[in-house]
Amino acid sequence: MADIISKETVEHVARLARLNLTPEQVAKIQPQLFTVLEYMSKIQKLETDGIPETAQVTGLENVLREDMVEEKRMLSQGQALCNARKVHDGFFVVDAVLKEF
Amino acid sequence: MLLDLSIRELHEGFVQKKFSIVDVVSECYATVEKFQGKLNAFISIVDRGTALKEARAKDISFSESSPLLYGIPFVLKDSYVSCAVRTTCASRVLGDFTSPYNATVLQKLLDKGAVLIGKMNMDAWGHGATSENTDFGSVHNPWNLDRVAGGSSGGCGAAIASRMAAFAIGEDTGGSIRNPAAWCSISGMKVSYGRVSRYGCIAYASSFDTVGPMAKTAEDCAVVLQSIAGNDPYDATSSPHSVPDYISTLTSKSIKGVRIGVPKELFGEGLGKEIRDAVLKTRDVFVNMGVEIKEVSMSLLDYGIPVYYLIGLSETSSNLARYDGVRYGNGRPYFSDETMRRIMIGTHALSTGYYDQYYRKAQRVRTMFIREYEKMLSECDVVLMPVTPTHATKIGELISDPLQNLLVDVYTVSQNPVGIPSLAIPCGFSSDGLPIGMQYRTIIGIETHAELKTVSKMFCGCINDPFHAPAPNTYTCPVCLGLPGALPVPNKKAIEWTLKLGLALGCKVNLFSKFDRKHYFYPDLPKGYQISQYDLPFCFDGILKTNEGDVRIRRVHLEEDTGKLIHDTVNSGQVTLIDFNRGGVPLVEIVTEPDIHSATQAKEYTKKLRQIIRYLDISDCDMEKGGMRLEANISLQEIKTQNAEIKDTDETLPGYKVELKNINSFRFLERGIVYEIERQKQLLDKGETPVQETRGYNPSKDETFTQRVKESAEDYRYFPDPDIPPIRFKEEYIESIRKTIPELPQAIVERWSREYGINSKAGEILAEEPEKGKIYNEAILDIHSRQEPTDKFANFIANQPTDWGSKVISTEAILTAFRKSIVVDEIQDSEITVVISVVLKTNQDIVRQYVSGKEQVLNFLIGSVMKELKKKIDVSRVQKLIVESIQKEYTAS
Repeated sequence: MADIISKETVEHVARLARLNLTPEQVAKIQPQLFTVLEYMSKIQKLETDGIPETAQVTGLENVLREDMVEEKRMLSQGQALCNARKVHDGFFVVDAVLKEF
Repeated sequence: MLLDLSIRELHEGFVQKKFSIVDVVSECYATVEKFQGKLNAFISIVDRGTALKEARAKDISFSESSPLLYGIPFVLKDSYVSCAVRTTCASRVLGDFTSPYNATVLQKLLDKGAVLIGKMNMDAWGHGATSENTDFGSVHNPWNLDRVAGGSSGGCGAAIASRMAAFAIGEDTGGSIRNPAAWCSISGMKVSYGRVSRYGCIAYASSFDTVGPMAKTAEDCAVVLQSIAGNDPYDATSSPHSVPDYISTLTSKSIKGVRIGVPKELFGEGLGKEIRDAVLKTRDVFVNMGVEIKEVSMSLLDYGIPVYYLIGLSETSSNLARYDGVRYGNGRPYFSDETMRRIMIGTHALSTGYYDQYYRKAQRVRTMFIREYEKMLSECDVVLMPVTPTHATKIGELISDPLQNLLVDVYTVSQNPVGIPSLAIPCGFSSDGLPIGMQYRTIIGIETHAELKTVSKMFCGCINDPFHAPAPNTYTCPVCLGLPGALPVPNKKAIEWTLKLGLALGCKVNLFSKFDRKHYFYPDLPKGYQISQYDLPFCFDGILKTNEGDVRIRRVHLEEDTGKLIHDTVNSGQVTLIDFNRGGVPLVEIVTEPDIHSATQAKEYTKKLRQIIRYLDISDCDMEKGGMRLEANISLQEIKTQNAEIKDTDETLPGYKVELKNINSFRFLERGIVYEIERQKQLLDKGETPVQETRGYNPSKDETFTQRVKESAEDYRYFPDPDIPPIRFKEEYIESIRKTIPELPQAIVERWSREYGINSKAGEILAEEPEKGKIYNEAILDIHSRQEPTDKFANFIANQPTDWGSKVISTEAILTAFRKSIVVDEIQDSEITVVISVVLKTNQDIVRQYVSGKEQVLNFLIGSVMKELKKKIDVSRVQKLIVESIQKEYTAS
């Protein structure tokens, strides 16, 4: 069974996902998350001890590239910046973030 | 209608000039004009004039040997990036995004001569089963306008059913091709995972997403798949297996004797009666064609949705992290309710405390599904199932109910986690305080990042030379800019160099390893996650010896660097400028155990580490520019000396740690740690616990300052990157890399001491840098072979000013300088002692300082004597005579 999803949990998850939810959206999504997770929790019933995890099904290993420059795929500064809302002197621009991180 | 014809028939028609490419393309546009208003199948339509002009040109160049798809009109789900037409993925988040590159599937079709008519409506980001979760209005079902067309590739389904194009390219993550194919009564193929390149396909759930055809018939699907299938160097998960001849297999092989499995669980609760009857009727049709029907069991059917949703939504929460509105698009507030809900569920499933219960559990059940399908497919060749449990729902019926909306996919979702192909064919209709004066032990762990100097970046072929780029954002590509649909492929050399460093540090190697995604939002991180390594770093458990004890290396792993942020004022506003030339540069991270107990040891450790990296010639380690960055985690631990029995508790680490970050010199690291130890000691003496935070060092004030207080532990939601297959090393490969490791400084110093009697202090100075070390080694061998004093040589070099070495470029020049220095003028001891007694008399204060223990003043006295003598003599001889004179004349009791 899924744990009850608290309002604080919803707000925490929204912060992690960087979604600015309004109080109304939090209230709306809270029961929906519970319903969905409760349904999903049925897999807890399955015994999975000793079963390995599958992260992908390609069966492939060591798909690597040689260390070579591929100019044809590189973008010009104009191409790189053309979809951005704010640019300045060849840079992408965002509102000032903390000086150091 | 011409568009009722199959692709082969259309091709034949072109060959026989029964009709032209222009005729077929014109018919498409006539149909689009007639039904688009009602169906809302398209998001963007290619300008009719442009398409017809292309059609005319193709009519002229067409020949009998032209590819089957030459001149064939097609439509593309708007989840594929394209240069000529905007890409929206049906979401306002992306806005009118113009891609600088074409998805591989699109490029292949264009290369074959197919004609693009437009880009199709869909559930935004693939999130939905009805094509109602779109910012461009719902898609209506061509068979009944009050009903949905299915999803997420609803626009494709509606367009093919209404003959707006000959075929469509859909995308299927859990049913997105098959469901609309079923509800629009066309054929749709979910291909084996990796069969068609995902490069340029905007990712929903990377390890499930498949690119496939939707068309009127299975034969048309085969013709299209033949052209789009195959390995792509830009998609590490694409299959390397050759593409079979689907077309001839279709015609040359009989269905007779094929075993069709029918899972008994499928015909239980929840399946609509009419659908059940239609599927059973289809079964009977196959029986009449000579197939063998076998009853099979699919006991896990009910767990398909949880596995699909938990893994799929975890991956989507990661994949959608790149849409931050910085490099393109409008940003995260524009996600629809359905998409926000899916991101929230995925984020929750990956978050600390829930990961094992949801994400990991689902990955295990996924393995169980694979085993169940293996079993089923050993008993039969094909499994027959309904696509959906119900008919096309009414518009508005499912969009408000998240759970019902997802149950529509109950039959189709289990094939995507397993990766097997699945074809939807039509089969009819229906209706975490101490007393003052405590003693503390300093505990420091250091994390060092160094940019590897490969020629290209970590996951793409961009130039890796951020410090010499001509301008900002000139060394980027779709991959390192995190554009929609772009996929990473790891740089082999970077991996090899990481192993080389690990082995040089005495580490063990994880013979099986992988890359993981580490999630956090910051403008310098284009994808909203950094590709790094979590539980299986390439190297672990190494050691680096320092004069104050061994420092254990916890791990050495490889990751990608972030972009560079510059804080500036533009139009009197405070802004941050971003340059991605550095984004994606291979970055090796070396993490120690908390074995460092002083500022001097921290400095020695980091200097030695840089030296080793330079000897390996894998990084320039330019600290000033950020090519090597140091971080220290510092905390103080009380030493409980009175009671030996509680020694065990001393082993536990303090309950806080202060992170000293962004340090770009060894001296600043040392000064910052000294300051920090004193600051923390004062707090602890007052009975306070230092705040867990990130601090910086201000060199002009010689103090540390708060940068960021960590309210809670970070939750990076690591999971294996589904875009990069795991990495396995052979022992022989590791040994071959070990052989490439040159003699390292510590070994060189020991050898010089052992074989040539050079003291280790001088040896360390000589071996400091690899190039000079090599020259000095040659000089030492030469001096030794001529039986000249190697120890004097070492001291001669070690006593030179620090910039001396840079002026001397050859072994010969160095030997000449040394030999010149050891030629001394003839002089008697008595002549020297006369000068010494004069100097000592005139510098009585200095002599007293020396007598009281300040030995470093001796150099001043030596210098003064040498200056008076004006002769070239051995400094050590002068030193010896001065010390003797002082002992004789000034320390007599």
